[in-house]
Amino acid sequence: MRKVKAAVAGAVIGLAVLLTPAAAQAEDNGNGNSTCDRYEICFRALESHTRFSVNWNFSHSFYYSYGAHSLIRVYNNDHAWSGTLGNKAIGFWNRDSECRVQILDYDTYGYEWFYADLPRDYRGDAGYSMNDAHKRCNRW
Amino acid sequence: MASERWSPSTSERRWARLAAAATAALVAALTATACGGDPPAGLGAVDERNPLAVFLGESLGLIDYAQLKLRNECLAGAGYPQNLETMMDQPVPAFSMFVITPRTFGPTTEQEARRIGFGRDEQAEPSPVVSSDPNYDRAIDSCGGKAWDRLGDDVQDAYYAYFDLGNKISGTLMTTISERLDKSLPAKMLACVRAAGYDADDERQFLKTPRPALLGVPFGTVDPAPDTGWRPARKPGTIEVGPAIPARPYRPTAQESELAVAWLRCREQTTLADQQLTAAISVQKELVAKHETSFVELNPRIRRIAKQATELIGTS
Repeated sequence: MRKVKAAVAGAVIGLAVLLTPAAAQAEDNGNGNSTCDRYEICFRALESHTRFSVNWNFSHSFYYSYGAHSLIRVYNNDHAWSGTLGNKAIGFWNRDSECRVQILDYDTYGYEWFYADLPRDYRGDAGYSMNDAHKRCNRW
Repeated sequence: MASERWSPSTSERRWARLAAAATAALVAALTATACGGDPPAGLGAVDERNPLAVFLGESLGLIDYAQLKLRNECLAGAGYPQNLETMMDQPVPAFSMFVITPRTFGPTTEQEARRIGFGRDEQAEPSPVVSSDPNYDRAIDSCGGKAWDRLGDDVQDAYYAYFDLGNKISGTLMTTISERLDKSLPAKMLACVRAAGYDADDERQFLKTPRPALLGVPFGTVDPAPDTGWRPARKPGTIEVGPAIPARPYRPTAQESELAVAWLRCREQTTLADQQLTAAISVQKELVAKHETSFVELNPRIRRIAKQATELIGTS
């Protein structure tokens, strides 16, 4: 029978295990430019900081789905400060060539749920506060 | 419909009773807000199992797919077949998770809990098509506009307005459901998993967000995709097609499968599962009533456009 489990990881580590993306997506940052270009899926983040008022333009872009924005490091415009994209996105631009894009995160009890479905060519600043992952052409 | 994904069970019958009661309340609420006590024109019958079935997600997905297919056929006619050759072969329903079932909140049988743990299988993704050719860029813009025109007048407005409506609902649906749950449930879940032999490494965090990932058990992964790190070379004048990503299964660890079974039992013992369904139906009812005007205005337009889409591409 199962015995009481030893605590082996903190909350952040535990979530990181759950949210680890597939290796195929690990290097995805679109075409590598800091702009949001045609055919990319782009996220804009905003974060207040004691030293910087950071309002990243389109902080990170993708060509594929990605399961853990908490693993994406983004920088402010002069690279003086960085942080994780996480679920800080406040703006989205879906320029994908073929797909709608679902914005996903976990509910209170840890089950994945989608918080938005962005059509092609949609650009907006709606604040879907739960946005730690995204999926292209997803069927659920 | 997604409601066919689950099989009859005790929880289904219990849920059906909850749904029937909530639907009666919904009908009453909608009737009360309509002029003269008549049901609001255009909203149609309410699905007794899921009030948000009034959201026409399949029609919206069909419209989206039709515009894409018409655009890609136009592109192929202009000498750019890449998109048509790689696009998905069927529509993807929009907001399909609005159809809430017991499965929405996790596995409903011990067999399923063992198989999938806390993960999800990944579905296939079509290739991204990336142009470094300004002629192609102009063609895709032109073909996209023509595709919208073939679907009718003011179609784009209705299409984006309906996505806005869906996103207003999806942005608050699950968070509101969670807010409605009994505040003692996290402590009850913790006591239950402790009785099953597990413990949270951070009790305070677990009581705030009672997630199984906080129970110190290693989780599995989705099988890696065969192609990694693709990035277009961006040679001027070229159109590049990235690798498509195949569907891949999620493979839980043995410990995760075991925990998933215990978690399912605790969800039932603490009434978390029942409360989630009850709250879901109640919140859906409120959201339908809140956005009734938008539904009444947009649903007939979406139905009309979907009919035109079916006639154009032959998909029902």
